[in-house]
Amino acid sequence: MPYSLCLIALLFLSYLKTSVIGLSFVLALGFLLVIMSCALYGNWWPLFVVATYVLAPLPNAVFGRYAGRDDVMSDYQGGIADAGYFLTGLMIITGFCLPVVLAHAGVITVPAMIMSISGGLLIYGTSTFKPFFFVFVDYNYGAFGCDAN
Amino acid sequence: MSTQWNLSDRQKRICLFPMPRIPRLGPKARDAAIYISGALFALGWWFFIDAVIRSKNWNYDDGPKHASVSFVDWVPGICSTVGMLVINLIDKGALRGDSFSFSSNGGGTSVAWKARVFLFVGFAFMAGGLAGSVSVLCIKYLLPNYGKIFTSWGISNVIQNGSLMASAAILWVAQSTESEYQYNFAI
Repeated sequence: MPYSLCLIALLFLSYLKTSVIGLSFVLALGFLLVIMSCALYGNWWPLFVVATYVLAPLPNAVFGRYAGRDDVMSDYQGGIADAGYFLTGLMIITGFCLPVVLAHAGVITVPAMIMSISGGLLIYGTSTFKPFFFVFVDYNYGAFGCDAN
Repeated sequence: MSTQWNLSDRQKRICLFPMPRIPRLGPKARDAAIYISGALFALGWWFFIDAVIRSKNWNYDDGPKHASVSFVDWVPGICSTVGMLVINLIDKGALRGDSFSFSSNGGGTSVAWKARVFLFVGFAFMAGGLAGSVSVLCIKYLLPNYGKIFTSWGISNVIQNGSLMASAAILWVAQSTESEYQYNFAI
């Protein structure tokens, strides 16, 4: 049953990749998969994965702002933005490794691990494809999508 | 960046054969390389944490527990991480030493010289970490021939230090192409 649920969710991602409504639907489906991976087995350890999903885009935003990416006039400090990229990559892999380590230690079951990882794939998929949908138009320079994330 | 390793300055070169150039990446590839570097860092540490957890929760139905992950296994990873920090905290511009503000001709205080000593210490930490993980694998797990599960703990230690080294290498290549992107963005 969990395998079919994951399959249906991944199929939805391929179907609904055209609209913002579909994107938010896929995001909700990803969170549903993560919560179901805890609730179906009565074991709430995989919920710690959600913390990495929340923390992953945070260094990019904070460090990019501090490095002066938004402000054209200030001198751009690349090293600070790089630290943000590094921490984001670290958080993303942590989100995938945590269920694997929990399952390897026997704390959670393997189907719960698979559900948690596929939920993480859906959530990261939406946050990765988000720039293709939200295209901001700046009337001075033309259209561009946001390059972060 | 073209004068890195003093390639353009033929008189100052030390080695007979020119050193290979570090490849220059575009802005997108540079960001992707830093993401990959962070991912490798996390992956290495998670391999080790997995081994630690399995050693702690040893299931005695699998047989007697001959060896466990102790502080000796932590030392190579800590060395690699400290070395990676030291390497990446150095300003890459200070290593070149071709700018007059960074090097003083014949003077006692040269910033480039200090930066190179720091770089050497960092690389020594990283190489020591990798060599230490291999020696822990051989001496603690492989030579007594405990069995497959115990050997996997040592192998995960080697994987940890290898991926930390790969992470530092990718980060080095990415950070050496900094100034171009900075210039493009400032315009």
